[in-house]
Amino acid sequence: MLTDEQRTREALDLRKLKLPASLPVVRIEAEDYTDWTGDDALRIQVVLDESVDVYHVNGKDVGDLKRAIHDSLIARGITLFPYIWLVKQSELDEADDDEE
Amino acid sequence: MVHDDLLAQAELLATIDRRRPKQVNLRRAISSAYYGLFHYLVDQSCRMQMGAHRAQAAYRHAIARGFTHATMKQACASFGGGTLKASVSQGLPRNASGRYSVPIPVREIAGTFAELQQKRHAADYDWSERFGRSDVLTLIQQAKQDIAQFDSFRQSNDRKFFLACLWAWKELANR
Repeated sequence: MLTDEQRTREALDLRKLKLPASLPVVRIEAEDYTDWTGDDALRIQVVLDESVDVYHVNGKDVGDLKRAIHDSLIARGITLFPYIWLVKQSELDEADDDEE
Repeated sequence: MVHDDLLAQAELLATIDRRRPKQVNLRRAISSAYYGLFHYLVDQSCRMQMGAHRAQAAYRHAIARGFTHATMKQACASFGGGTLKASVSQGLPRNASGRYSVPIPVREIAGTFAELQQKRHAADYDWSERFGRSDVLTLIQQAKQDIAQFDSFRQSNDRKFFLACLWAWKELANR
């Protein structure tokens, strides 16, 4: 019997997810989250490849990517709403610089 | 339309800094994008209930004051998941697997609304959350796409049902 954490990890396995080619993904991370109304949720961080031109992304591809993640979670019985953040590693590094 | 202006404002704020974006600009961009989608959905719901004629505008504006963020979020998080719990979907048309299936245009705009509302809250109140330009710009494009897709889905009963649920959700979901 898999735990919720194991099923979540399986759902977010990049080798199994069908994601739009225009948004190459480096890795996906998930953590427990509580939204502002107090509902349990998931916080999903999708790290995009640096090559993605965020000034010219296609809104449909963004929706397809998020829906693929949501459907994969639902298919494994994870019904928490996933709040998904798209970020590049360079932006995460900037955040580290700000804190130093 | 006010939602177009708010989404354009969001885009402007997200790109106003040429190099590293200031957090305040990204946070205000998220807020503008959220209110763009919020006012769009409220307006669509009011037009459906009251009518779209200019002479009915005052009535639409009066009804619009009755919408609440929390109720809309609860409805949207549910529609965004693609299915509804049995007490809500009772009697609605079923798909081959015996469930009410939320059409993609409804599912997508609902999911984006729930996500934007949470991020708007974090942008305004949570300084432990840091926003990146990638997330803000992709979310704005997603909201614009969802509105265009939802606009082309006008005659659907599922669309009308969703718009009614934005104000009736609490009563429906608690039965």
